[in-house]
Amino acid sequence: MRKDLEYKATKLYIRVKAMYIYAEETTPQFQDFLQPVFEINRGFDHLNRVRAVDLGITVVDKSEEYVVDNLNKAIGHFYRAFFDIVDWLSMDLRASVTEEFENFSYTCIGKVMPEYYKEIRPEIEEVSKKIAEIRATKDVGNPGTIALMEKYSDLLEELRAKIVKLVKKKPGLIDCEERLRKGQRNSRMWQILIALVCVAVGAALTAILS
Amino acid sequence: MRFNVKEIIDASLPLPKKVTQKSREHTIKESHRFRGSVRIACGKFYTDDEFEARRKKILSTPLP
Repeated sequence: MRKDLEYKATKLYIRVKAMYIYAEETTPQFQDFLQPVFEINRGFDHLNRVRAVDLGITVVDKSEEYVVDNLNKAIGHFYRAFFDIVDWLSMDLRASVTEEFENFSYTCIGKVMPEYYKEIRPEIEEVSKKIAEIRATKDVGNPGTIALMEKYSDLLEELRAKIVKLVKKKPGLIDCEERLRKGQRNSRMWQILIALVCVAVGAALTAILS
Repeated sequence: MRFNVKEIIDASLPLPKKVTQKSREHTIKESHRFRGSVRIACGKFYTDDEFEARRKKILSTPLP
């Protein structure tokens, strides 16, 4: 029991640390988010309570219970830190998509990067919704925790890679948008021309008939 | 300083419950006292209210 919890806490902490470094490196705003750091500190505080018992610095009644309780609390704090970080990451991802592509039409996005509407957009919607839900419930007792964390960190990394690929297609989007605008301009010109011809024919017919 | 180990080890860490604009101003003002993250020393971090506001704004903006 105790060994399992220690293993879980250490594994969680490594994942949290990796995600924090990743988030800090990739955030486009160059702004840090401190709440996860506070959660990590609180987690370390619980781990040190366990350490104090192990080293005989403190003596507690029912030491096994005390140790297990503190390890569970440490895991809880690392878990919260993780979901704070992925929430921050998913927000940045969403913001980067909005900022990069807000000025392009649905037609061009669909034409130049068809995978966006088929997979990327639904994935972003799903991930940000799910992460917000988990963060709100903070369901620490879930036995699938580590698997869930691995799933979300991999998903976010994959999504980021896909978005980076999409950004590389931006010149194609600009080109498509220009062609579309040119086409619209031409069709408007034709409409004006047809209208002018109709008016001229109408006027000529009126003149002939009168 | 004398202290009771058992009491101290089980006490909660006095970490801020909330990161505010005041915390940022204080951090920048006292940044010469500590080494560490340049971003934090320059006040480049979200306050809790800023983070929530940004979160709400981003989530309410529809994706293209």
